[in-house]
Amino acid sequence: MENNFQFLDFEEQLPDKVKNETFGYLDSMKLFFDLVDLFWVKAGSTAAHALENRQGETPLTLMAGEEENKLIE
Amino acid sequence: MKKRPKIPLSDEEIIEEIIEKGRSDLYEVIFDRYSDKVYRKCLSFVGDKMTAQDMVQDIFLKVFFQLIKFKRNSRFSTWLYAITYNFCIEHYRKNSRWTPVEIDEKFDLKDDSLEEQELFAIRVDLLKKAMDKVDPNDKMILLMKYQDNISIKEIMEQLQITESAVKMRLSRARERVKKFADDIASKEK
Repeated sequence: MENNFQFLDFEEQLPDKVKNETFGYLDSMKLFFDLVDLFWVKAGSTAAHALENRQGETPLTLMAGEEENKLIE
Repeated sequence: MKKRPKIPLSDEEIIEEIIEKGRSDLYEVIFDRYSDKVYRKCLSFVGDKMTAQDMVQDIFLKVFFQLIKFKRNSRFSTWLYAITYNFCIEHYRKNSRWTPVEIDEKFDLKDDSLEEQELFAIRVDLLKKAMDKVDPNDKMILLMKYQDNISIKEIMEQLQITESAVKMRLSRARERVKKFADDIASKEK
């Protein structure tokens, strides 16, 4: 329904530079978040790898290993 | 920056492409469709072009990172305008000594259509001046209803208030705008 409120709008148009700047910021922010994601993926895979290497080791076997090392020294 | 050719997808379909398929390049289409409207809304609240341009940037960046929160039970434009108005009100609050007008719960609702007739009878130039004087919360709800044609139900969802609260706020806002317009008109005589 048309009413006087429809005529309140300004005639102004957003300058093109604002679009360029907005998408520039957006690209940098996306790059930053991609790097953060990459960091967590890398950290996760390193942790998983470390756990895999220690599979089968219980706290007791780990302690026994430490004792052996002391005897060898 | 050149504008893209028209893309035959609705706003909601574009948002789905961005979220589901990671096609963030399509956000430019949304920007092209709404940036001027958002800019004009900001300008009507702050009155300064540079500030309004900064606000447009902030709004579109915020909206991009909140797209996941967009509930598809309302139009995208409604959601975007609600964010824009909230941004404008927040800006107004931070940069002025504004105290929002208190809401009187016991306010008697008058006949909507009669009030609307009176509101629509206000001359555009008077309405413009009155809208500049009115409380930003009143301005928001009036623009949502009468400029953006957002339904009462959608306003309820966006502002998270009840139907009667929407109607009450609208009624109060109409009354205040009319009073401001009458005052301005009587001073001009």
